[in-house]
Amino acid sequence: MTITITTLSFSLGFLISSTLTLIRFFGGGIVSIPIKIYIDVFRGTPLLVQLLLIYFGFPSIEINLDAFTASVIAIGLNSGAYQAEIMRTAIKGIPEDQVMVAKALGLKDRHIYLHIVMPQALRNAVPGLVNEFVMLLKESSLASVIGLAELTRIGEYMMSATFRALEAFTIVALIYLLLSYTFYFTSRRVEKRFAIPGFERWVR
Amino acid sequence: MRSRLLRLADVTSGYSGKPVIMDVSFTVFEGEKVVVIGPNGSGKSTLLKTILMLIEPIKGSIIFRDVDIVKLPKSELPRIRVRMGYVPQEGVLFPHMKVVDNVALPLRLALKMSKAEARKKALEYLKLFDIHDLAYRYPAQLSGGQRQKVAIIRALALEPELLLLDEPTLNLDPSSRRDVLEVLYNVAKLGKSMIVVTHEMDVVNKISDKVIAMKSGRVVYEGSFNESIVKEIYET
Repeated sequence: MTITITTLSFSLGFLISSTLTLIRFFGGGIVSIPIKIYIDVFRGTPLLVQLLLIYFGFPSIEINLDAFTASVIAIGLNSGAYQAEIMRTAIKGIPEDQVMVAKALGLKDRHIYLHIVMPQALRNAVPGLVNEFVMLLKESSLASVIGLAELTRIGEYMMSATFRALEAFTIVALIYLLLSYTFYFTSRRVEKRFAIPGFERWVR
Repeated sequence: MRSRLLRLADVTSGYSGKPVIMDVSFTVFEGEKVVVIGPNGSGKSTLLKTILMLIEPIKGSIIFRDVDIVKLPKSELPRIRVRMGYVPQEGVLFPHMKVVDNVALPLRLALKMSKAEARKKALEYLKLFDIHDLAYRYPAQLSGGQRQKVAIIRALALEPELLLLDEPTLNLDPSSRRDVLEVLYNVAKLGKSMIVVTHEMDVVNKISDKVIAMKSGRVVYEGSFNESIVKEIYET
């Protein structure tokens, strides 16, 4: 369940951030204002509060979500804001010359975005996105608060069944650690696999 | 009389309303090689970027063939730019692409060639300048001079009507500099119209049909090369 929530909300966040990045690139200054507000609101308030608001608050405006959907949406929206910031920094890292030269060679804006900006930005963003994924893995534990049977909640069940809190949560912590470590390890290998000269700075 | 390829009339241009070049007027004829000289900060690079409409002029007109490109809608500009090959300062290759793809990408996207066609043509051009052994390397694996050569080939492969080069030998070691100059002279022999921004008097001597000297954003001399002009603009 923890992995499902993490993967789904990360994907939702990625979808949101990609869309926002696209809008920011092609839109002017005006469209970036609501985007900035979205990012600031979701980064400036606790994820737990966002989760509680969506799960307990939304029913009063006739939006009833089950614990699973509410968790994915809350964590996904939150992650979308963080991922959009990661993408923004990644794009900022591309020298302006690149875009200028691409233009000078007769490339259209959409070509520049697809072939020059994105391939470089995504490579710049990989370390940030990997971090974000692991953060979500851990933050998904908040879903236990609204009763979702994910890893932390299972720890609580174990505790109440055995009255052994130390053992129960040590096991839970170890599983989180194992998951994070596995993910870090795999992503490092993937990075190495796709590394190209000049972009290897984050591959250790 | 040779036909007119490019004509600038009273062009003033710069960044966020602040002019960097002022009232620049000159003409480039078909096949003519124009060398632009002048101290750093005199507006030479801005001039090239303005010709490419990368910087929108504040006033004046830029007539390419018979079209005033200043008046064109933005969506038409890519089609004009591709007809002017641009070699920026220090080459500026796309670091995430191999050399051959750096050359092939604009062929594919701006000239609508198929992937295979573009690659084939890119390799032909790399071969023509004897650097096809670098085709499958990434820019980070090249020397400054090699990058510069690739940038020249990338522009040339588009078979532009006019070639714009911005200080092609900037920051190169002596041997790379000689290499790049050799390429430049070979390109000049092709009979292409060129505007070359440089401090290299050797370039001015060897290829210039016309010299344009700039100082503080204005054209202070236009004509054939003579030593006294060089002295005057660089030393006073």
